[in-house]
Amino acid sequence: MSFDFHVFSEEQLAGALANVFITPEEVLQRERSRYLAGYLTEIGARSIVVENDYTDGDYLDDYASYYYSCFEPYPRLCKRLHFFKSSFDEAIFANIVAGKESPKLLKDSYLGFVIARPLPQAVIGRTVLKTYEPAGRRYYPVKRRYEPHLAGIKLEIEGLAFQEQDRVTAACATVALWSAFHMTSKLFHGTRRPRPSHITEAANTVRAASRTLPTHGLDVFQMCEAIRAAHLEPEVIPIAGGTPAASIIYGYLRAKLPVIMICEVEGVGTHAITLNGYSIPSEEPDFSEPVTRNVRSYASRIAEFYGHDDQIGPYAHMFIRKPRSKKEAKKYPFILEGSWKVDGKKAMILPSLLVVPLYEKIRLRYIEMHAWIQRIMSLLVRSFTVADFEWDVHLTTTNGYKSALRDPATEHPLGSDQILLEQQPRFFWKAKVNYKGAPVFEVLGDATDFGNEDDVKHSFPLFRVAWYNDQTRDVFRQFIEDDSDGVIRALWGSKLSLLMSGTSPRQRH
Amino acid sequence: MRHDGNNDEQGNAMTLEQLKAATQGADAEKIREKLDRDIASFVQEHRVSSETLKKQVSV
Repeated sequence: MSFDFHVFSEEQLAGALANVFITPEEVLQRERSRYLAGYLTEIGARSIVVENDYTDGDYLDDYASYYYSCFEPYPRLCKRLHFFKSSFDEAIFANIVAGKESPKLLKDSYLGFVIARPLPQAVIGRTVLKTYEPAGRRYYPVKRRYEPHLAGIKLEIEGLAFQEQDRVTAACATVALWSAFHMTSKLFHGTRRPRPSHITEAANTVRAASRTLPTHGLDVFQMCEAIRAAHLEPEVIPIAGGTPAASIIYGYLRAKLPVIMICEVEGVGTHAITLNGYSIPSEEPDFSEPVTRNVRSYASRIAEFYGHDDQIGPYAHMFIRKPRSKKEAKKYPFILEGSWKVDGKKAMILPSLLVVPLYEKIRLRYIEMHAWIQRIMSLLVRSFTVADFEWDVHLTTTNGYKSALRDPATEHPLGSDQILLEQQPRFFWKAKVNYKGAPVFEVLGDATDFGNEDDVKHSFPLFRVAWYNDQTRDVFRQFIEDDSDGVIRALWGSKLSLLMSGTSPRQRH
Repeated sequence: MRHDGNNDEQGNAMTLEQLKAATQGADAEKIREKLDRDIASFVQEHRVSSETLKKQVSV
């Protein structure tokens, strides 16, 4: 195996990505390559180390599934390009490998890697790069640790795997699922992280309308099948004008769960993007998710989402924009402006569906939790202003929740010491409400239970209310105890009333 | 860290009087029926249909 060294530049990157089928000039004409060059420049890349003749497992599976049987002798080996923020040359690298210099220089300045596939078109294979700096507004909860080794030196990078589709073993739906599985397999023990050709094959085990390979895309049903094959369950949420879509996306992303957004790219077609982050700027965004059924969401502060778009690049930004007509507003709560262009003009992204690969025990949907909050608000809106309440709703785990309670730097509710000792479901929804900017209480909803909020007599997943202030708690308790005419119980139901007054309706005797 | 969630100093606390005002003059059954219908339609709107599952994702 040989190594090459380059000072980072767009041209050097193109040269490193090029192969016998595609020249550096042709590489540079491709938008994905230019995006990659721009991204690496932004995160401060200064050096490239190229590992030649690299065996990449993902490409090898694609090769074995398709390319090896082509008449054209496609190569089996790739190149792996490593990027560093520091400047060094071959002599320094040789000293580090020989143990004459510390590897700290490489470890501290590592920015990630790109597999350069030996193909005529889709040269950008498995890619893991550092995210942009948070800058006080960017959040990338959907990322994990990767530990690539370079000449025996263990490097570390936090990110989420990306690759561009080759339109043979994988189209956008397959690639979006592949990225998502990179995260879910880390989160949920026992779930799988299949390679692209296996995802496409698993999807086509049911109702294959056309040939499996080369793939022409998947339908949503097939995507769900591929999710099941990875030992996960698909949560599919259709989007309409009244859907709190930003809240739903945020609710899952905060739990480190990737959300696959199915969308129409204007003038192009139906596409899949793996959402993995969001931006909450200090100033209010130009347009945000409207109040949905008396629930104003913290997620309405989100100005843009980030996602792996295999036609654009990793962590591609998409700004939330107002629908351009009443007709559009009926179909979409917001539209997105990213880097898509058709004939030189901006092409808007219209979100139509969300697909979340979930561990089987996560059953309660965001929508059902939202419906319970709507029920709580149904009473409060009669004498308070909706805009004064802000609900921060997201999925969490008992370990994550309790770890946060033990963190002295985070605000936590009354009785945290007691909560730490309570048994909780492994997964639950946390819905915390602020009134005029100050936290009031949080409601916890068991995500391992079932929802059916439209059937309150038989389903009650809420299991805990934690208050932030004893005076407000006592005021609510007295209010509920004084419910002589039964209005509160009529609107909230007896179980929710009991819970809000401080009694657990789940107490076992 | 404990937050003063009551906002007392700013006079922004939720008071018993305000809460009680929420129930005054309420036709509970009527409101409940409307709320139940509203919630049922919201949940129903967000259930996936077989038509949706046929959507081809191919860009």
